[in-house]
Amino acid sequence: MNKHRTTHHFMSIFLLLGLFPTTVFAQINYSAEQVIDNVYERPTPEDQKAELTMTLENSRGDQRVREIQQYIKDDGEETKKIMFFTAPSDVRNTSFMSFSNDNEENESQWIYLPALKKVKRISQGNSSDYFMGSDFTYDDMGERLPSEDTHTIIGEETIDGVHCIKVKSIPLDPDYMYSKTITWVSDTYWIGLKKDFYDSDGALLKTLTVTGYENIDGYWMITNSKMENIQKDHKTLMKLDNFVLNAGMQDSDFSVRTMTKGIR
Amino acid sequence: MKKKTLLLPFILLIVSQIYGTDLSLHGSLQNYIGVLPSQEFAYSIMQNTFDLSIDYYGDNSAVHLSPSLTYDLDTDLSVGLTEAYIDIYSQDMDVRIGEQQIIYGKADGVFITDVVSPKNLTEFILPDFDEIRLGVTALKVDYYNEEATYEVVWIPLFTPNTMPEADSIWNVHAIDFSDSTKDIDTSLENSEIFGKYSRYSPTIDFDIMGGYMWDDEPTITTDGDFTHHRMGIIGGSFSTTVHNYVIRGEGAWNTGKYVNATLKMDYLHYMGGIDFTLNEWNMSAQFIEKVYLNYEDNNAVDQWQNTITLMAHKEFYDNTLLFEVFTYVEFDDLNALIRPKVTYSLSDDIKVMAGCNIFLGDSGTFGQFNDNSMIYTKIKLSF
Repeated sequence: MNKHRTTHHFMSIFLLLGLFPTTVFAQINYSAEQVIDNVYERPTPEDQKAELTMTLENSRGDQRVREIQQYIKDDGEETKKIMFFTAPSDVRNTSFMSFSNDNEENESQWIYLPALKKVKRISQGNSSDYFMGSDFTYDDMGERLPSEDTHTIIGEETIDGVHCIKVKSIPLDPDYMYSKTITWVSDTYWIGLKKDFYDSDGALLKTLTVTGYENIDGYWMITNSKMENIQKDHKTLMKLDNFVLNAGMQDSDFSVRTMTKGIR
Repeated sequence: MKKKTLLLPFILLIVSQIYGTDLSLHGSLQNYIGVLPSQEFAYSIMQNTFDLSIDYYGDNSAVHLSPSLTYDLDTDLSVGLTEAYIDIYSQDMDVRIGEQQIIYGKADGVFITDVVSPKNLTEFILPDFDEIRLGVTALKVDYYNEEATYEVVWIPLFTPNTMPEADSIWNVHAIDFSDSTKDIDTSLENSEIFGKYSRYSPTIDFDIMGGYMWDDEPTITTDGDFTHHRMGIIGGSFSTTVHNYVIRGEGAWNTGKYVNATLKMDYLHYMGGIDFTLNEWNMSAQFIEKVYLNYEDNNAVDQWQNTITLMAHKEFYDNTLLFEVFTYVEFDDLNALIRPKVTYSLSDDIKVMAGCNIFLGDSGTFGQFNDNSMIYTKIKLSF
């Protein structure tokens, strides 16, 4: 606490001298890193099952629907995820599995293609690919490590009556698919309620809006979100329901055997 | 067809005994038209196919049937059963009994350890990879121990490759292969057996396999007939991730391959491959080599055979348009097959495809078909 008071004292001096380059937000008691860390560290269940429905809508209003059953297990060190595609019919029974930890180098991904009857290891280089024709890239679907970006608080706003801190994040990797992101983080729920993604030329590319979240068994879970590609005039609505949390899933549930026959 | 007819009631009988089943019914309808530009755009294929996939799921068991109905310009109406099997699950073991496709290995479009299921070669290797393999009547047992899987496959009934008819454009020497299995009765001593140890882990996936089998490819006899010979195989495959690249390898030692009526040789067959993404293009390259170990001069095969394959695909327009190309290049008697294809999704369930198969060279695996370069379209409705 003392550390914060000292910081504010110096900030006031800089402001008076007109030397401080950005606005100071007196109500915010967190650094940008703390805000992003709090989102990243928000309590999550050890395992969860949910039904995911993605509705893809183009500029003419034509809709396509993808349905997925997803299972996630996170023991704090490693996150294991398996997804079973149930619709549309041409991708039915395809499954995707990933193991990741804080060191992105160790991420492993496999896909099971039922027509080929083959489980294939796939490259992480596909993380900038769009997931099943949606506006979410594979990278958007996962959790980005706070240490992969530099963060700056740039303001505060209220979204649907919820106070949010605006954080600008610039990737350390200059070749990353986004040049920057701006996230509106609720300091009540530690959920990013809105996020703008900027392309490599610095133009606004996409906006993610969280339209629904619920407290389920003591955990704040995002139930509805919308990703809108501004440049393509295309959007994806994502709905998660029928959550089952902390069902006691085993590591053995995340295996090639499970990918090929489903969780029973 | 007889064995399939016998198997079906057995499966249906089991289905009726399964308590609390859940039925799933899906399928597709496809129209496939191919023409030969070098022959005044004559039809090389005009085919309508109706594929059905019927699944029953019980608590510890499942039944799968995949019948198909094909109307072909040449062969008229035919009924087939690609797969028909029962699965029985326990804590550490799965058992699959019946007609089934069994796929081994990590190579794409090349068959090195992938020798359990025979192939439908009536249209050379042009059918999609998911359509080219035939089912085998087999008992397959998988035992799981953490990241490892031990698999045994027993095939009591030999099923060879389906070869092109004598008058097919894919049968260059107009050979009649139809009686090649006449001397192979269904008996214990004529059965095939395969074993595989496989392991998937975050660092590497690999498998080691072996088998005692029949050569799925018919060989000419001294009498001028065609028959099949016994072969042995030991091999394995792996894939791993290095930075953003997937590195794959596969190899096998094959014994007892007859290359003509009297000459029997062993050969090594191996592949190294890499998968990566470049400017949103998914790319893959493979180098494949086949070398006969105790080689003797003959007119059928060279001692060394080298092939590369190149694959690229990318999706456009919100993933509704897929462009892909798969190419084989064989270095001995330089010849190639180039297969570009465009798939457009009219909706989630209706896809329109157009592509061509371009054969280059005068001889070799692909060059021998240089009159068969083809343009085709497919329309597929899935449900």
